[in-house]
Amino acid sequence: MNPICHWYRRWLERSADLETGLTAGSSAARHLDGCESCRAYWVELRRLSGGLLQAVRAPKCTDETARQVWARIEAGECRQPAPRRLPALGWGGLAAALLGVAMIGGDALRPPAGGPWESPVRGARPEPHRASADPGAETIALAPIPANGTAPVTEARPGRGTRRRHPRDPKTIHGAGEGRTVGGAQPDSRRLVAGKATRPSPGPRATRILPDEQFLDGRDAGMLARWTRMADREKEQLAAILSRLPPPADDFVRIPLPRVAAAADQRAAAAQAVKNYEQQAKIVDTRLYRNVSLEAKGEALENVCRQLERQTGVTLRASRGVADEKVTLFVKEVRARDLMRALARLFGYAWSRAGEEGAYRYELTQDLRSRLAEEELRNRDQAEALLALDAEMEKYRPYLELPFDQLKHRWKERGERQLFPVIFGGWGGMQLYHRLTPGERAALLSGQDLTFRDNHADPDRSLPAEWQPALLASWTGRVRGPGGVHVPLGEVPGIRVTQLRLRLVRSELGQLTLKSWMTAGWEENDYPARTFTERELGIGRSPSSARPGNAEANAALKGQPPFDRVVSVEPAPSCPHFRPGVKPMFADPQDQNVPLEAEPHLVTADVWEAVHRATGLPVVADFYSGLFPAVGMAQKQQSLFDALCRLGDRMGVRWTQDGDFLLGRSTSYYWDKLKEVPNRHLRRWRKEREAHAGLPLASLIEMAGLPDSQLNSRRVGEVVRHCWGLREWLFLEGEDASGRSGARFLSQLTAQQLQQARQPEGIPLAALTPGQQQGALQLYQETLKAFDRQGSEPPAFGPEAFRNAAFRVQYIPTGWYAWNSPSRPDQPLPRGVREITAPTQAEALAQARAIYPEVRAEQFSRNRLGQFHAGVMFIFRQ
Amino acid sequence: MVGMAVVEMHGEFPTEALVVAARGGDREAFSLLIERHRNLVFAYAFARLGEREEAEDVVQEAFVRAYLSLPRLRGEAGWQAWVMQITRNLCHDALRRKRVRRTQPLDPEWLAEGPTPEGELLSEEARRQLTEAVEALPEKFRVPLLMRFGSGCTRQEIALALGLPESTVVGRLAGAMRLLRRRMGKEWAL
Repeated sequence: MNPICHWYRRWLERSADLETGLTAGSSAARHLDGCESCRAYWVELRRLSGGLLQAVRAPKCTDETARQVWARIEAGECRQPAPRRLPALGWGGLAAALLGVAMIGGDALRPPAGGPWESPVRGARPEPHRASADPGAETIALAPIPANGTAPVTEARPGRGTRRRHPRDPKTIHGAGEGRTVGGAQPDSRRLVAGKATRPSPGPRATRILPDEQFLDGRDAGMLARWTRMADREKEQLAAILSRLPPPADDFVRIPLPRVAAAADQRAAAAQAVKNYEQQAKIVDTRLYRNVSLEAKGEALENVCRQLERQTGVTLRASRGVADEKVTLFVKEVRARDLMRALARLFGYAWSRAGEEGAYRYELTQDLRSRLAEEELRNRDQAEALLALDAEMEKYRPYLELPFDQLKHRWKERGERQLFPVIFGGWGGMQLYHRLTPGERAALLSGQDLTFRDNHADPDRSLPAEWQPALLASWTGRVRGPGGVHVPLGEVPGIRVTQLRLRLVRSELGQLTLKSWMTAGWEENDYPARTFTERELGIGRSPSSARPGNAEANAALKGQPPFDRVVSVEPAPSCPHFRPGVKPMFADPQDQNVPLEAEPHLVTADVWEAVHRATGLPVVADFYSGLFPAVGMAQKQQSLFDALCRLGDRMGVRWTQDGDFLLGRSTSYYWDKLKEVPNRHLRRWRKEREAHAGLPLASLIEMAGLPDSQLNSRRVGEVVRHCWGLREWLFLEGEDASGRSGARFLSQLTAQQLQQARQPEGIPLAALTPGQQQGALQLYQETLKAFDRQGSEPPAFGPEAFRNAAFRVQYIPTGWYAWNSPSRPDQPLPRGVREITAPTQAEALAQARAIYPEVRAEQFSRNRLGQFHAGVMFIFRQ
Repeated sequence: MVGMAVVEMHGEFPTEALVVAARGGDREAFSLLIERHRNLVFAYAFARLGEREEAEDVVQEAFVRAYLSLPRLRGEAGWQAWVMQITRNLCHDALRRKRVRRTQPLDPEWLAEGPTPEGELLSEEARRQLTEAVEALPEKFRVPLLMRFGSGCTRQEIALALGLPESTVVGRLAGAMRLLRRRMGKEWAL
């Protein structure tokens, strides 16, 4: 969102409870005239305000208060003050007033029956209302079992407890040369040899073993089979080979399958390969029987491995591809090997072993197979999200042919709430969506903008003329008309909707948002005027990620120990702002930018910590950034099963039991992991921010270098800005972030060029290298495209303008002090004063006074949101 | 006409004068003080505790304590703030006794019985959603919001009741609106 809009919305929120609304002519009112989205926001706030007036009304205090107070005073042994007359105020008047009240029977001051200050007996009061239920105990809507969700079968396994097998699960599915592991991510290699192991596993008795694929999405075993490109005969051969091989003793380690390559004497080569495999399979690393205790909230796997290494003395590493993955761990005195197994199974990774006996090294890796499976999940999720979005849009179909007035009537009088986006700016988008040709639909899906214009040369892309009244009627905004009077948009003479744009926004991975943008144009004093508005028409998320359905997925555990225990799980926020007893590190009492900042919130790790504290169970869960309101999260006196199901469903997490461990996995982990920003970066930037009392420009440039998937996510941005205190992230956050391209371009400049670009006159384009010039012009092109997207005509600059153009950077870290008052024409400021920024007002003032001694302290004020702009500046010389 | 005279009379006696008189033992003066401030005290107590009987009990107790402690009051101008401080302490104690902080559902008294004539009518579903969202607000947002919209207190009165600067109250009301909007979504029905 535009920082200006952001600022004005805070203003609107402060005015929403006033009966009078906004002051006419105030700058907020003027802003609303030109900003459709803020106007819609204001309408929403006022509706909310009106709704509150109706929905909550307090009773009045009883008129008997005075009498009851006196009764209580007299019932007790109160020390009554000595009577004293009030001088100079005319108590005769007061007495007359009281008499008057008594005469008119005024309830307010009526004395009780039996004398005004008699001591009445207090009547028995009714039993006060009791809180009927914990708000956390609401009904959970459970997702239906998916069509392909065949229930797993539980089967007995002598000596190894029970395990669940998917009926469709092939007995032997394994890719040649992909290695095998029993506890790790490789699908079901353990099943291949179930019951044929020559010795029992030295690991702990597994109380229940789940199909590996459940760690991917919990249901579809067939999906993994797609990665096995083998003919049936090959599969049988592989199964036959595997049936002869012993299972690995250290079942969490992946051992590469025997690879045989020989031109002659194949039998001998195969025997040697099998022998090597058997030797590897026999290895049991006794050092991993050491007990470890770990508590980590959202910690990188790399650091977890380091901790484990410290406690066991065994070299453990996370490979580069998985080192930044974050994990939440709460384990106490468990065997290192069990924890390693749980980690591998949770993430679908595998431990590989290297080195000599007594000094084995272990590395956690993700193989190609697992990565491809995630890619497959993403593809499938996207298709499901698209179907969900289409279903969302289908609800508008019955309204397509209805006149706009009738739609409005239905929304207002009949309470058809789903019409809200249609009534407020989305009518055109709704009509367009349902009239798309297959080609246009394909273009929309591929991420293209579909733009329809008034009187377009291509009739297929032309807005029907008869749509104009409804388009304008759905646009609730006002503009300043002739004489400065604000008039509804539809009443502006000559106004027409000139452009309607439709786009499928995918900036928040795992979610599809259909948006429409509308531009209207008219002539004002012989000059073209334009305004535009945007509307979100629908959001699609795949049902499997939107609804975890924990109760169904874990139905077999209900009533079983330890899930039948009654526990109270009360998570406490770990955010520095809300951690009890800790002074906030970054708290700015004036700042309420992010709604969740204003209330206590939790991350998944806080919840898992509370679960561990309440149950003592070892917990291993993934960690992805996201805030959840703390309200209603506490589960008091619930069975552990119910508490876990509710908490999991709220957080979008599926939980399960694996051996003695409680595992938690995000339902959309395959998207979340792409959005997550590594801790090592965040820690470094936070440190630099603290050291410089604001994020240095170099760090901002580095931030901009992160992948778009990370910078686009609002969910992650909320955590980074608030909990990590990196507020400058806002300049780069979201798909429409204005500063991201500029900041990325800055990485091409040398330190000297960057210094010059930060000066008031900037760095001339001519002083840049040809490559840099091209980059700067690309930035300029992006600005022009933004004009075009909005349906506005971009400014036209000729070659002459480019000769004098310069590249300029303006950067004020959030919370710094900057010049805030305009210079007077008769007293122009010396060059450079306006560009001074400093972390404190005193520093800014000192710097400014070195240039301009007359500067005053109040001319530098705190810039709460900060500022960042990098772009081409055109200088027109007279 | 008499009623009008009473209203005017009410306005003639500054609170400070009534406090001085009450401290001197004048019961009528103290009764007037009760009448003048009971609504605000009740509005605060009810917003905080959510139960009518309990709120009324706190109101009575607050005035009883205020009366008994009148001789210790220094500075008549601070009477209102002083009573509100007593009320806040009583509410705090009451909540601590109940061990309920902020999760109790709103008393049915909060729910308006029927639609008001002004503005758009709120559907039953929307009313339920809205009250649930209000219930779920953190106390620091919920109390000023309920006082403002439920009891019709002014921002100044809320500031006095909460013992906060008016600007903070404005900020909290704004925060409450923002949170409510976020929780209700954009499409909640009227």
